[in-house]
Amino acid sequence: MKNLRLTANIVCWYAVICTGVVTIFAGMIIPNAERAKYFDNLIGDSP
Amino acid sequence: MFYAGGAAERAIGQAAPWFVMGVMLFSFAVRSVYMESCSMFVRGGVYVVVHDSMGPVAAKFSVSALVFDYILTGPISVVSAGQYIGALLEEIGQLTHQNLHLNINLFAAGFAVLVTIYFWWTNIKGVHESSGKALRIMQITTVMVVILLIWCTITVLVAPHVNSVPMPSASNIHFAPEAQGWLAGTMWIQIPMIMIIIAFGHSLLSMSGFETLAQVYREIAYRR
Repeated sequence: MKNLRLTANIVCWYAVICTGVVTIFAGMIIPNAERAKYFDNLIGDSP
Repeated sequence: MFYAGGAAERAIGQAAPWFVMGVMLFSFAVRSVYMESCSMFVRGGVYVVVHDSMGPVAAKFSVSALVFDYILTGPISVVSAGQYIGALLEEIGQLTHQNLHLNINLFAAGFAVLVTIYFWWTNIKGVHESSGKALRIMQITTVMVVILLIWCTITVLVAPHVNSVPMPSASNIHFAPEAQGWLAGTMWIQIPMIMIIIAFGHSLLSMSGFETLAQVYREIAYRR
């Protein structure tokens, strides 16, 4: 259980940083109009 | 990285990144429930856990949902990766002036088949044999995330203009018509607390990576 607890905390912080912070960065960096072009194509292979 | 945020933004508007962050913080509570369940049903798996707590019918539904989830998310993830790699190869070909024309969808499908066979072959070897490779995948991913975070930070610091992300208040939530579901046109969709709960619900997709914990749970020893 000790290892599971440690891993669970790592996964949670990983998720906060990797998904949460990077999503906020995406909102700040990618221009609003440009993001909207990809709403129907979230994989982003072409605009 | 844009996938979860993009899906949320399409549904609820530009305040979506804050809701994604909220879901990530909520994941700490999910972690606690997960760990409690794991400690109560060591080596049980979904079927045993749900069977003991909610009965055989719920257990069958749960396992069916899990199998359905695995069948869906595996191919979707690997086809997405194949499309990214195909697009990257084409761009590299253009940059190096090579006449490289790929059918990206066909490439992605072929890539998906190969990767699925590889992971099936690795998994049937056993837990201990495949753990090292699972760790290596996480290490490579972590390096990419660190590079991305450093790159993003530098971009935010040096870019002449960055967007401000609207705060996660009811006034900044703008639901797409398809995101309102059966509440469309009712007074409920105007109530701030309900709007925030719905917006939170549209951001839950970002928690999908939590299955990673199952990689560790499978290594817990049987009870003695």
